[in-house]
Amino acid sequence: MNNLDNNNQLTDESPSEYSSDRLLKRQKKEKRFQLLGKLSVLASVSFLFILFISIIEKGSSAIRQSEVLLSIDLSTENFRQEVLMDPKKIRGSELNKLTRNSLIKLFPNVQSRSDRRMLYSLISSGARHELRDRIIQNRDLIGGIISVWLPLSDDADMYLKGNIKKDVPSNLRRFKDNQISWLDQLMSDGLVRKSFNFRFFTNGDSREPEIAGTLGALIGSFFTLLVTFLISFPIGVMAAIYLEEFSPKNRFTEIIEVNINNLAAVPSIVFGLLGLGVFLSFFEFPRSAPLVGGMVLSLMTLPTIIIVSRASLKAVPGSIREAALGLGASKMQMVLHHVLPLGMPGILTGGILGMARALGETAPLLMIGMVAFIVDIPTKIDDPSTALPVQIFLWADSPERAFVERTSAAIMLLLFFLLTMNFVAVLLRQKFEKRW
Amino acid sequence: MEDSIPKMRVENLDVSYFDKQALFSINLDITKNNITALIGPSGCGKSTFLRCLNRMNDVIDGCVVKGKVELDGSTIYDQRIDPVTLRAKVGIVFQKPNPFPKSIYDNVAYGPRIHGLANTNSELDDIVEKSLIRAGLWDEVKDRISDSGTSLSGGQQQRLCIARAIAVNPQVLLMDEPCSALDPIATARIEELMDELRNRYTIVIVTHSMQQAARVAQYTAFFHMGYLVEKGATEKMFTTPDDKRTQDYITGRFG
Amino acid sequence: MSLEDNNQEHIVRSYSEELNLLTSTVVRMGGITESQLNLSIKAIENLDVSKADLAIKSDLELDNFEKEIEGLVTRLFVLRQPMAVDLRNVMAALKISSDLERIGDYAKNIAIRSKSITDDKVLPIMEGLVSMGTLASECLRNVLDGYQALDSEAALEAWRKDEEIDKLYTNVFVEVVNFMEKNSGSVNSGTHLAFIGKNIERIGDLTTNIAEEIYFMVRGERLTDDRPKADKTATITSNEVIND
Repeated sequence: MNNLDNNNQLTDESPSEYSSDRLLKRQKKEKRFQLLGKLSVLASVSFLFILFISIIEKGSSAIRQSEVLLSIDLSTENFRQEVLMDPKKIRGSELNKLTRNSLIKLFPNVQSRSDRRMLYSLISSGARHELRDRIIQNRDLIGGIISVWLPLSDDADMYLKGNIKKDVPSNLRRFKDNQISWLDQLMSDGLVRKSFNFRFFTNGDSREPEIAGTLGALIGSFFTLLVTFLISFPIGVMAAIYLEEFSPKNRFTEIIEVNINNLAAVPSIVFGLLGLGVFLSFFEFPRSAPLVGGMVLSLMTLPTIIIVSRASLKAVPGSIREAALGLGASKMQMVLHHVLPLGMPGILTGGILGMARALGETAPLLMIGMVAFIVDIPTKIDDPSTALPVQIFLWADSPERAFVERTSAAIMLLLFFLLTMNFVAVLLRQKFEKRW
Repeated sequence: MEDSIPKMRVENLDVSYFDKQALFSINLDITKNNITALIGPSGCGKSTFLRCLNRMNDVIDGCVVKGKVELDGSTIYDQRIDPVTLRAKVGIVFQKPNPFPKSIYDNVAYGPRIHGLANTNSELDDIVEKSLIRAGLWDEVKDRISDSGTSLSGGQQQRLCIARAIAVNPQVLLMDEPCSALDPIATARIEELMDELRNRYTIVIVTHSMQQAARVAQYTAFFHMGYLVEKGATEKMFTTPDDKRTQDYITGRFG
Repeated sequence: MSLEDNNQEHIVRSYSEELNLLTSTVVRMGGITESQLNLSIKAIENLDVSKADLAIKSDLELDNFEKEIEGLVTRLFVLRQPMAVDLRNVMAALKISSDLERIGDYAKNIAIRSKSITDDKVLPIMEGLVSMGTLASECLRNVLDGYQALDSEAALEAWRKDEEIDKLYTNVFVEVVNFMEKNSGSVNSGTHLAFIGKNIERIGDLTTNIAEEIYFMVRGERLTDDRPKADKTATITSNEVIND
C-alpha cells in the first residue's frame, strides 16, 4: 500500500515541470557524447583516406612506362656465325651495339664520346634483354630490320612523367639539357609513347626501376603463404579440436591455453630470430627460401588459428553435440560429422585473416634472409626468393627516383591482395553463417 | 509396479558433480512399454537421473556415478559396455529441438548410417520413411524431405528429433522436457505421439508440467533435492500422494 | 498424505483464497440445510404451518448455493487445475453441495407433506418420525462439523449412526402400516407419514454419502467398510405387520 501511495505522490506532480530542465540537460549530454563518437570515426576514416590517397597519388603513375620506337638492323653480317646457328648464344653487348647504332642513325650529329654515352643512356639497359628474348622466340627476325618499342631509361621516364623539372639547374639534375632536347626530338617524331607497364607484373626484381617487376616477390609470397597454410592450418585446427572437444579441463590445459594466448602476442621479429637460430643455423635449411619463411610465419600464425578455431568450435551449440552423442555417435564422429563442418566457415575465416596477416609480415622474413636481391623468379619452395612486403621494403630503400612510384604501386598490389583476402573471409562468414 | 518385469532398474544410484552430490541413492524400476514421468522442482536432479540412463553424463567433466543401472538385467555402467552402443539402445530427445542443420532425410538417416543399420540406399529410405511415419511427421514433410531440418516449425522439429531417435530402433526413449519449448497444439501432438510410441518403446520423460505427467504417464516419480521422494502410479500420485513434499509440490505450495 | 498435515499456503495466494471461499460456502450451505431440516421437523412435530412455509422457502436459497458452488468449482478447475488434496477438496465440495441440495429437496417435501396432514389421529405416530428426524439432523450437523474441522473421525461416527436411523425408519414404517390398517379413514395422512419417514431415511443416506466424501477428502482413501444398513421395510409383508 505504501508503494502505491508514493506512486500517487509522484504522479500528482506535473510531469513536465518535474523533468523539463533535467531532460534538456540529459539530451544535450547525449548529443555531445554522440558527437565525440562521430569525430573519432571521422578521424580514423580520414587517416585511412589520407594514406590511400597518398599511395595512389604516388603509385598510379607506375601503371605506365615510357617506350621508344627503334628500328634495329638485324642483318646477318652483324652476327657471329655461332649466333646464326643458335640465337641463344647471342651476347648482350652485341645487342647493345645494335641498339646504339640505331640511335646514332637517328641522331647522326652526336659525335663526342661523352655525348654518345649520354645518348645511349636514354635507353634502358634492360632493353637488350627484351630484344634478346624476341630474337630467341622468333629466329626468323635475324636478317631483317625490325621496329621495336623499347623501354626508356628511368630518368627519361621520370622526365616524361614530370618528375624531373626543366627549371632545376642542369648540374643538380640527373637528366641533362641535351638529353632533354634529344627526347623532345624523339617525341616530336612520334617515336615515344607511354604504354601499360606490363613489366611491373611479369618481371623479377632489377636494379633498373624501368624493368623491375613484382612477379618474383608475388610468387615468393605465394610459396611462403602456401607453406604457412599447409603447416599452420592442419596443426592449428587439430590443436583447437583437441583443446576444445577432448582435453580434460585441468591446471595443465589451462596453462597451455594461457600460453597460446601469450604466443599470439609475441612480436613477429622474435619468431624471425627463432627461425634464424633454429631453422637456418641448427637444421641448416636453405637461406632466403619460402620454405623457411613459411615455417617462421606458421609459428606466428599458429596461435591465431588455434584461438580463432577454438572460438568458432565453441560457437557451435552444445545441443548439436548432445544430439549426435544421444544418437550413439562417438566423440570423433560427433566432431567430424557435425561440430567441425559447422565450425569450418569460422575456422576458414580466421585462417584467411591469419594468412592475410602473414602476407603482410616483413620482419621475420628479414631475419631469415628473404631480403636478398633476387632477380630470378622462384619456381620451387626452396628457391631463394623474396616476398611482396620485403620487396616494398627493398624498393623503398633504393635511391632511384623511379623506385618511389614503384614502391607505392607495390604497396597498392599488396593492399589489393590483403583486401581481397579479407573480402573472401567476410563472404565466407556471411554465406555459411548459421543461426540456431 | 511389480506387475511386469522392469525394463530398466536403478539401484542405489549416487551422482555427484565434483564435490556436489546431485543424486542420493536412487532406487527406481522403469517398466516396459510404459511412460514413466520424472517430476520435481528445478535442480532436483531429475534431468541428471535421466542422463544416467544412457550415460550422457559421461561426457560431463567431474561427473561421478555410483550405484547400479541395469538394462534388461545387465548393468550399463561397466567397463565392457561402450556408451556409444548403449545410446543406440537408449535414445534421447532433448528439451530444445536440436535438428542438425542438414536435410530432414539426413537428420533421420544419420543414426542408421553411423550404426550401419542399412545395407542399401533403399533400406535406408525405408528406415527414414518408417521413422517419420512413426513420429507422425511423414505426411507433413514427405514432399520436402531434402529441405533443411531447421526450416521446420518448433513442433515439427521436435517430432523430427523423435524420428531421428527412433530411427536407430532403441528400446528405451528418454525425453528431457520435450515440450517445454513448444506451443500447446504442438505439445498435444507430441503427447499423442508418445502414447502411440509406448506400444513399441519404453519411455521416460522429464517434465515440468504436472498436467503433462498426469496426462501421458502411467508411472510418476517425484524428485526433490536429489532424493527420489515418491514413486508410483500416476493417478495415485496426483490424487493422494503419500509424502508431504510431493503434495506441496504438485499442489503448488512450493516450487 | 492426508489433509490434516496440510498447513502450508499456496504460492499463488489467491488460489488458497478461492479454496477457502469454496469451503466456507459449503459450510454456509450446510448451515442453511441443517436449519431447513430442523424447521421441517418442527413443522411435523406440531403440524406448524408457518414453520413449514419457512422450510419450503429456504429451498430456493439452497438451489442458489448449489449453483454458486458449481461456479466456484468450475473456476478452480479451469484456472488452477487442482491436484492431490486440493483436487479432493474441490471434488468433495462439489459432491457435498449436490447432496445438500437433495437433502434440502427432501426437507422441503417433508414440510409440504406436513401441511397436507390434517388428521389429529396421526399425532401419536409422529413421535417416532420426530425422533428419527432429530437424529438425522444431528448426524448432518456432526458431519458438517467434521467437514469444517477436517475431522474424518467425526464424519465416520455420523456415518455409523445411519444404522440407527434405518432401524427407527423400519419401526415407523410398521407403525404407519398398522395405523392405516386400523383407521381406514386416515389412509391419506398415513401415506404422507410413510413418505415423510422415507424422506428422512433418504436424508440419512445422503448424510452418509457426505461423510464418505469427507473421509476421502481428508484421508485420501475410500471408506471400504460396508455401509451400515438396517432398513428392512422393503421386505416387510402384511403378515409380518399384523403379527408384530
